[in-house]
Amino acid sequence: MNPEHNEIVRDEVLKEDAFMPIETKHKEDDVLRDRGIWYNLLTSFKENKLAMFCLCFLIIIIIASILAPLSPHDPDKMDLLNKLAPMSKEHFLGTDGLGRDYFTRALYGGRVSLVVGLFSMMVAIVFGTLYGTISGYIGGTVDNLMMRAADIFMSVPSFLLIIIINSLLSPSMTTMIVIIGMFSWMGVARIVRAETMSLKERDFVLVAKNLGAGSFRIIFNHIIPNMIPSIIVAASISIARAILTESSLSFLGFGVQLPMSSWGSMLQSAQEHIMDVPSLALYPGLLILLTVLSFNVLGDVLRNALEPKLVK
Amino acid sequence: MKNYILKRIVQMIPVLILVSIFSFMIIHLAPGDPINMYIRPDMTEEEIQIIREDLGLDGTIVEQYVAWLKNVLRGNFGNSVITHQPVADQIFNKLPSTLLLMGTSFVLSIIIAIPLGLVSGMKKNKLVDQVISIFSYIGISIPSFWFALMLIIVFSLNLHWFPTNGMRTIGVESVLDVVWHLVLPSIVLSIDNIAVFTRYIRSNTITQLEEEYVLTAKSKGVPKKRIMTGHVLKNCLLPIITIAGMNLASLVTGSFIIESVFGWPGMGTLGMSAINSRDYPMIMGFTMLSCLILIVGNLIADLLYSVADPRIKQGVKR
Amino acid sequence: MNNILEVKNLQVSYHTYAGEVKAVRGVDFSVSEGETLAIVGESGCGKTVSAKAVMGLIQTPGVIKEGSEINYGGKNLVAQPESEWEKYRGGECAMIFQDALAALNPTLSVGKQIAENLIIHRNCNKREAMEKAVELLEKVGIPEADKRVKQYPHEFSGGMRQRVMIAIALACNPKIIIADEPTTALDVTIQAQILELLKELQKELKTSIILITHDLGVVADMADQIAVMYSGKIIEKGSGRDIFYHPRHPYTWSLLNAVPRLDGDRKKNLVSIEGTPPDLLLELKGCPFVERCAHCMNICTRQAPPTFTFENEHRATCWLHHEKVQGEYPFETGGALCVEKA
Repeated sequence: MNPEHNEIVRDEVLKEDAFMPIETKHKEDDVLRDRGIWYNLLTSFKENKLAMFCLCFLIIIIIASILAPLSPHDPDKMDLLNKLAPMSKEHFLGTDGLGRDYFTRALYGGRVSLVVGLFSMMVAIVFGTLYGTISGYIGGTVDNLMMRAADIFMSVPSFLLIIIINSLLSPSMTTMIVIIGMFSWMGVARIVRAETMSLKERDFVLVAKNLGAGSFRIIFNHIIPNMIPSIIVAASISIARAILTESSLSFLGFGVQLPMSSWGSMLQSAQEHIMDVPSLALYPGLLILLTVLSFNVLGDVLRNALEPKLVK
Repeated sequence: MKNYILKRIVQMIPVLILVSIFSFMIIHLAPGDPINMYIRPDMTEEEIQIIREDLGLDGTIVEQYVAWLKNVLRGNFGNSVITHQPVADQIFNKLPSTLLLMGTSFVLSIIIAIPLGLVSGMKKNKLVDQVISIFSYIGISIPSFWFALMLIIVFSLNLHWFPTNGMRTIGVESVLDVVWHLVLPSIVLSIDNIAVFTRYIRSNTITQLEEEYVLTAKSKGVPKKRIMTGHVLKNCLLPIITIAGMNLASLVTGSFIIESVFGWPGMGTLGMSAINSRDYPMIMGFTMLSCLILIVGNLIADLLYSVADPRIKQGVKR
Repeated sequence: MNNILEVKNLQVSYHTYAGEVKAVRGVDFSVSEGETLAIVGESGCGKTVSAKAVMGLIQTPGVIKEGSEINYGGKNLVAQPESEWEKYRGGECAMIFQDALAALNPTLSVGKQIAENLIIHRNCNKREAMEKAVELLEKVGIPEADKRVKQYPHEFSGGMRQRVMIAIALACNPKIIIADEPTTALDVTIQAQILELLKELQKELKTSIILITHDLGVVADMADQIAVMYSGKIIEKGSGRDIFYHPRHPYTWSLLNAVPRLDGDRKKNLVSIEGTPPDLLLELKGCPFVERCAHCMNICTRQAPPTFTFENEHRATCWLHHEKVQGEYPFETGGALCVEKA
């Protein structure tokens, strides 16, 4: 112990009021609190370069697809004299086998892929959420039956059925969205069911019930709003899957039909020129990869941010 | 145990029936009369009626389904309307090559994913983990057909290391030749599984390492390596059995796409041509078999899990 | 008496993203052969962290700070490499955890888990180790030990699992057993059985026990020495008799009042200690107990109290024992033999 410290102690002891009893006051408890989803999200994006990259990439891709009509080229205008042109100032990514501007086609293809991904996700999320909450809320035999049914859907070779349905119905964007959504709600339903089961036992739901709120009201006002974070995470992953499915379908020729094209169908036609112009096969695939990857990464970042982190 | 297996097998039946009804309905309710594909304008009504009966297309859809089901129960999936060969024979001819492809890539993904996942989980947030994580993100996000195209461009067309398609070089009968043809397709088919397994093993490793029994082992003076091999490893890998069963669907789907890119003479190629030519009996048979593979795969996974985990064997809920 | 384990100025910190949490702030204690030391305190006071530090089980983000000493067998273990620790852990010093279900590996038979200890420290082969495991299970009072040795943790009841934990700890005849809340997760009747078992084994094997608990009732007829911890420091230490009959720290005093008694006045309500312990993230200026102390004085908020030593090595860290203090207190004050640094 250094002498200085001893001096301080001595001074304290020598103070007149040193040993006067005082009233203790209990300090208000410092409650640990969560800084909130937005704060956590912001910090994860700041710390995680990959997440930042993915977010920027998605924003650029979405804006570019929306602004696609501003491109000076018509995506469907053929120019056979100018086919398979290499990269140039006029044709950013060159032209395809029919002389169409590849960059413009990629933008329009992105529109199809993103729209199909987004809307099939919505179909899956809306259906899966309703299915899961109803199953979890009612419980008992109904829950058992509903989950068995979901299991059946899960143990079915869904991609095969999607192909069969798409090959027999005339494929349009709408049918594709509905069909992809129809076979991808089960995961969401399971997550939502598990959350509903735990939420319905929570005090605020019990209070609402005691106050006479109906099941419908409880589900929509109390249970679903509390599940939104998990649903958002599921949505992000679900878009990624839907885009992959759509592109596989289009690649095999069961997706959107000509003259419309998506990244998948661009790859299908690029197959013909794989020997002479392999770059035609490169770009659309790279776009699919990056878009799907970004949604997957974003889903994980969201999940991490949603885990409550306690701070002072 | 016996009862459990029996119960599971009984549970499989309604799934198969529902799937069959579902696919039957899709096929037969689709716009357009399938008979149109098999008749010529100069046929008489009677001739058409005979073809209709041959195809099992007479009567209501319920009658048609019952007829189909009766045949199936006798092991008869009908004849292909294109080749006029029995569907079952054709499928079983192609089955081995598909199973070879699926099996190889499954083994490949397990062998690669286990070390990657373990290392990643043990070195959480270190550089190795970050690199592996990025690779597994790419693995789950990459469109398999595009990956296949890229591999073909690089390794077949430019480097000429591997063949572009098929399963054998014509006129060559050797295992090595098949293996040579197998390399690219099985790599493409395993990429998704590798990524999925790696991610699961990583997160399992992380949670298992935080379990208290690791601390107990450490307090016994067990060296770090032995804690990994003797305690953590088994508990990390157990859930992978279930995940592998659940991920079988991606193998079936994947083989479908990849076989058509690589021209692998398996069920996928057969199924694609059946769908393109609207060969209904073939599509039905093919769908049922894919479904069966999935369900049986899941069943095997569950059984393996219950053998491997002492807690399940005793019928204790996890 | 010769001390087999001496802990001096033990400091453990956890580096979290909220800052450095000083979980243990300079703790000294020692154990001699065959003795039982009880470390008592409420949750979060640093008692478990201290125990883990003695076992070398502090994991990142936690660190044992420089200047800490854990002396065993003439060596300061803090400075030793991992290989030295591995010999010591399990061989010389063993630990029993609170929740045996979590602390046992669910997918290994209990026999294997006991045998592992012997294989590592005693160079037994597998068969010998399994035979020894059966003996050990018998010793801790598990019936049909030869059958149960092949069973898995989930097949045992809570009390039986804790007996298995004890068997694992005893496997290599360690000199010291650290028992971290060994009975907290158990029913009251089983608690008594487990404590009785520990006592018997201690008598037979001359093991020293460090008993970590928040329950003074558990400690009463077992502990030779009691150390009371509060917010990372030992605030009072003495023989069991001294602590129970002559508590010298207001915290100890209120802890004793919080123990329900059969022979006490039934009309008297159980006393609880108001408030919560201080945040271990903060640097404490005065006495850590200041906000909850019924006998707080001005100096307590300004300066950390020194440690006063009384007869029989009884120590208390509280300003109330300063010679200038006057007034009536429900426990003894003053009369210190000597004063140590703050």
